[in-house]
Amino acid sequence: MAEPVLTIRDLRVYFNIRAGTVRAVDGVDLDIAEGEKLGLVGESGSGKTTTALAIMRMIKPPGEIAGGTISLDGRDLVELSEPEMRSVRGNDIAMVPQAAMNALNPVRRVRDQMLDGLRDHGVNESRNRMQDRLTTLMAQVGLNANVLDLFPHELSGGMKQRVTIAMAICHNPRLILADEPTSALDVVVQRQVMETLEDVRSEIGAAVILVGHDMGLMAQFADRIGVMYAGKLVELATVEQIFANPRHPYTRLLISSLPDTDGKKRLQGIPGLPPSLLAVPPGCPFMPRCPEAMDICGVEAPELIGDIDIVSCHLHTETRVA
Amino acid sequence: MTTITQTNTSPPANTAASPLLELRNVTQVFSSGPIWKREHNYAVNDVSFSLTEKPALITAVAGESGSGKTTLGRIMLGFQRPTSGQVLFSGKDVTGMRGGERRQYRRQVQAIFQDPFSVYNPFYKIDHIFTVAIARFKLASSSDEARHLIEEAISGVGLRPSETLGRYPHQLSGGQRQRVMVARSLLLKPQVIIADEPVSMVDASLRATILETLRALNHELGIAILYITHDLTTAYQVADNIMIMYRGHVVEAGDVEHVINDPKHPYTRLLVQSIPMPDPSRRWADMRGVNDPPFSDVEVTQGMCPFVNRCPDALAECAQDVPDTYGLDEHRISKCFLYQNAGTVPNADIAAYFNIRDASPSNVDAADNM
Repeated sequence: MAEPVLTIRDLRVYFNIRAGTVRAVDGVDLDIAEGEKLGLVGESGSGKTTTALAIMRMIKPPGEIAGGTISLDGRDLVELSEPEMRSVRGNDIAMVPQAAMNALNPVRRVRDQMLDGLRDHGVNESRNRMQDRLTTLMAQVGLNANVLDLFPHELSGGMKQRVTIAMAICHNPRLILADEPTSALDVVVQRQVMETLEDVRSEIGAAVILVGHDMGLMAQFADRIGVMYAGKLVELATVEQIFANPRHPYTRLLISSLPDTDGKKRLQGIPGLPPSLLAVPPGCPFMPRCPEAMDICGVEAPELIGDIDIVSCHLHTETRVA
Repeated sequence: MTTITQTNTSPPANTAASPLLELRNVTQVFSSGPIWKREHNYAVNDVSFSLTEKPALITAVAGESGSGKTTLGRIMLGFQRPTSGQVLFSGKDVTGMRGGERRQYRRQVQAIFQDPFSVYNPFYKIDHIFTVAIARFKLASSSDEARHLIEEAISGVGLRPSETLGRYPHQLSGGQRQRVMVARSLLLKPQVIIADEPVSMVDASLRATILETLRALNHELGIAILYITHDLTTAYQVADNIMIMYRGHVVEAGDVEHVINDPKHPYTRLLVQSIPMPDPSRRWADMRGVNDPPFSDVEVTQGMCPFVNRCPDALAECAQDVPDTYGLDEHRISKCFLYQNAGTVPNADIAAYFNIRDASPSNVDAADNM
């Protein structure tokens, strides 16, 4: 694997609320290689979005990064001062938000909003040079330059999401975080936006972390998939491996619950609910819902094992009790 | 192009089934802008179709945002009076219904909405949505009986009454809230459920459970279901028949197996090609540039095929006239000039072309899911 751009070790994000401490992300290790497309999946509350926000250092109180390191090219982002982090955001790591309609300022034209993004990061060139840059950016995301003169409400959902992609790539970041960028779009527009993201990604050679719960989209886009459950990474493997040979029972159930169009079948959900992150029971967090749970699962939390394909499940540990 | 085997001069046999909820040439126009440049948006454009009581089927309505699928559902629920055309419930026009008749219609046609958050009043406990329905439709004569009905309905959707009743909406998960809405429908034992994107805001793991519950309501209790969605894979799994909508027109309809695995209308083909299949070995074919709208710069107006500017197969007549609805075979119609040789469907109730699933009791396969 290529040299990692981003290395996360033992990341913990806790929310201290009156009822106690919510362990939203609890000990996540992750490497993202240069130019890699990593999918981060899990149900609501599994910690996938919180992980992405932690990488951007955008966790708001009562939440805090309670421990761990996030190194970008050897620099630990957790230790950076806020002004230093400001220059990392946008320049090195950019975000494509989930709801493009809320990400754009409704009372300003696209052009002015994009110029803000450029100027804020110290780009100060002549008017013409700046206009050229904007036109090029628009072309990169497949939009006509006249979109620059429109207000956000004049754009369709897909166009708005392309504008946010253009904003994300304007400083050629090393890493793009895309949090469910197409969840509000229909399938045709979704495909077009994802193709745009892939085009610009390969053009600037950035790595992408795609956060979401749509396994279909992950199968279409990602190289590797990390599956999160109750604040922990439970499996991490190549997309082929995850779909052909999922090893964690949760991943297995997640994949068998997916509808396809190859013949009708009984749709199988995952019974039960994820545990409250205020009081995660001892042992494996998935145990209460796991069809293959063993005695040890309720006692001891499984370790993450493996080098490339990683799984955290007692079914795969050496010490498994037969 | 595939050959068309049959010319439909007479509608297929299943017109004999009595329609329960029927749309006749329904058109809904939303107008906006000042009078001198008024814009008319045809959200639903001359749609005729029906849901039958026997057999009770699951019919999916699919299309992109703005295709008119939600408006269609709202018209069937009686929330929206169409600009023209008729909505009939048990053969009676719903706009003229008053009093008990109207109440009966309201009870028999129930809704399940997309957002399981906004349908609840956060100040009331979950019980409220059940007690209101029981009081409104006088379902129980004592509070014990009411309690029994509520618990029965909640158990019916796979929730435990003790963990659901007495709680506030924010104390339940999105999936639980959505299942409570299904339970509310179940309590009223309606003949029709209009489910508008019931699982689009629910996690994948719970999606399957809710869809199976809907399937069981249909198979076991004989409730006809209109499943409105933008997700073709769930439509394929759950529904018997499907209607594909584009800008207010039903551009293709028929048996779900045929429509999704052998789409005929160019728009349906585009939709099916864009499904993100959960299989990394079947990635999207590279269609960049080929289908990116606008495909041509024809300005689409009322008098032409709504898809003409995005259609890779557009013919000259597509920009001159709106295509009729053509019957391709026994279980498929398409509103596309490519199939004009197939013969026009006479003032089509689309449902006449629907495939009827064998719904005999021995065929109930979802029984243990309730």
